[in-house]
Amino acid sequence: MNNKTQNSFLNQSRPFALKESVQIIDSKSESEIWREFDLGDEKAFNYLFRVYTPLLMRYGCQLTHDQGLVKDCIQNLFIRLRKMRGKLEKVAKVKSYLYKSLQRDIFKQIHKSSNEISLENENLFLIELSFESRLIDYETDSQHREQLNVALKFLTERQRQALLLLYVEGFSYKEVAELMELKDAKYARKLVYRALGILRSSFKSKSGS
Amino acid sequence: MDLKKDYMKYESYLLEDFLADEFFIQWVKCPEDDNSHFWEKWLKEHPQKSSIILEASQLIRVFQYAPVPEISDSAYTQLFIDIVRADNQIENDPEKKPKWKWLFSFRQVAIFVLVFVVGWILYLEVIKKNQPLESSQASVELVSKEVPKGMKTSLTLEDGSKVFLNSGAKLTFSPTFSDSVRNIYLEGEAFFDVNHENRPFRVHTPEAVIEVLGTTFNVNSSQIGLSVALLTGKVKVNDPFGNRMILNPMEMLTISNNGKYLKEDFDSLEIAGWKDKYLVFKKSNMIQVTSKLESWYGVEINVTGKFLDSWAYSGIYFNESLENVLEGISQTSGIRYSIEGKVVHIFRK
Repeated sequence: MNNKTQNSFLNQSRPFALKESVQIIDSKSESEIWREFDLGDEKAFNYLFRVYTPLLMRYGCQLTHDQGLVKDCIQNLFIRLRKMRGKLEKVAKVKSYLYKSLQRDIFKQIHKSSNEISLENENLFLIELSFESRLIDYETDSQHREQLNVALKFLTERQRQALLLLYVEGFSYKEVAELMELKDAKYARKLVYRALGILRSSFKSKSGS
Repeated sequence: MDLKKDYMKYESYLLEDFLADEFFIQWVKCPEDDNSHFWEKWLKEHPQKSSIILEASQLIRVFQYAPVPEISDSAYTQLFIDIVRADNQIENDPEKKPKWKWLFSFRQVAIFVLVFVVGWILYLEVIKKNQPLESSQASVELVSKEVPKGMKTSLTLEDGSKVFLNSGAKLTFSPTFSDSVRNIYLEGEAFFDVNHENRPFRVHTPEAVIEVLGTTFNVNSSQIGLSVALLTGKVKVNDPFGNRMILNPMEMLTISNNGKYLKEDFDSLEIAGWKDKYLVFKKSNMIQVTSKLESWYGVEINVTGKFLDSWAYSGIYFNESLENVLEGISQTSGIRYSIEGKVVHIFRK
């Protein structure tokens, strides 16, 4: 039994039932949960970890292809936040706060090993169209689907990023601008309008009519 | 809130205005009492807008991230443990805080990876004993080969298949293929001479996956779409929507940027001659000629003056210098040119 270390790790693979804590806390606002986390409530931390780790992982993997790096950065972010409990600043928008912090950490790490950047920069923020959910119109119309898919290829990475942040993450223009290091929400709106201009020809109801 | 003003504003909105409207997106993404109340009322009063609203809300929901690898349940749990443990450690040694924290988490991750790898190898040894270990190399690190503009290159893959890469192309592949499939990833143009095997050979491009067993074919994946031209054998082209097309020898499939699929025959010298150093123009217009020259020779071309829409050039060059090609074009097609290093100027005669 000399692999005691290994066993102790494996045995603890399920320290708590999945998803339970998420239910309990759902009714509270996020800034309340943040405050409780600050006060040392483990249930609140559990909630933040469960809800945001998969999201942070997904977002982080848009910034670099190095999944291990993203995981390390998420780990260190939560460790740091836990260390700062009791003196955390008030946060109104927990999601964009966490995204911003993680993005900053990842960029810092990438800069450290900057010889890999040239490979890193490709194929980030890729969009996939999912026609599965009740989208009757586009689902039956494969021509529009294809057109839309082709049009997507003409978007720049920043345009794709802006659309994803707006439509998938549900961020406001202000939050999008902050994450994308734009001076003002109106530049985020401009970016989105430009992307929509490229996609316009593949929409069903063409504008101007 | 200027609800009254918004009420008016939305009346003149086009599809893309809705698509760019924060308040509208918010309602689609997470309907809450206040926005639902507004939009339901607005829709009731503007029934003529309902089809646009429906399309906008559908489009907003259609956008998703392309899938990224997810972390496993156990890695996820381990992450949680590492995070919670880290703060105990810090409280115990306040002295070496920052370094300790990093080393600690790093060590834990390393141990976890080690456990995982050991487990994985055991699993392979015990359960998959009769299968060659090669399958574990399916996830082996990928290598990329990128060809600078103005250059061409060829390489032989592990299975003996030959790949010619045209200038600007990028090929990503695993140095050793898995035992069930030969996967490679292509951006740009390449010609494949695939060794016949039972393992399918799959070329992944942004537009579609091309699957073969053993054939010769040309793939060009560019900004304007995908074209697959088959010289010998048989290929299957699968697009992301589950459409599948089969090509016979001397057929070319083009999926163009307007979403159109086109199957036609082709001139093999025109399409695949590049790999044998044949530069071919076939009734090419000025844009086609210049873009081909730019990537072939790695130069930048400036065109001054207007050329008629009917301007077209045909010609075949074998392994010629840029100057000889330009000279050839100038003699038959009314252009003048000058070369300054990596920049070429073309004028009307």
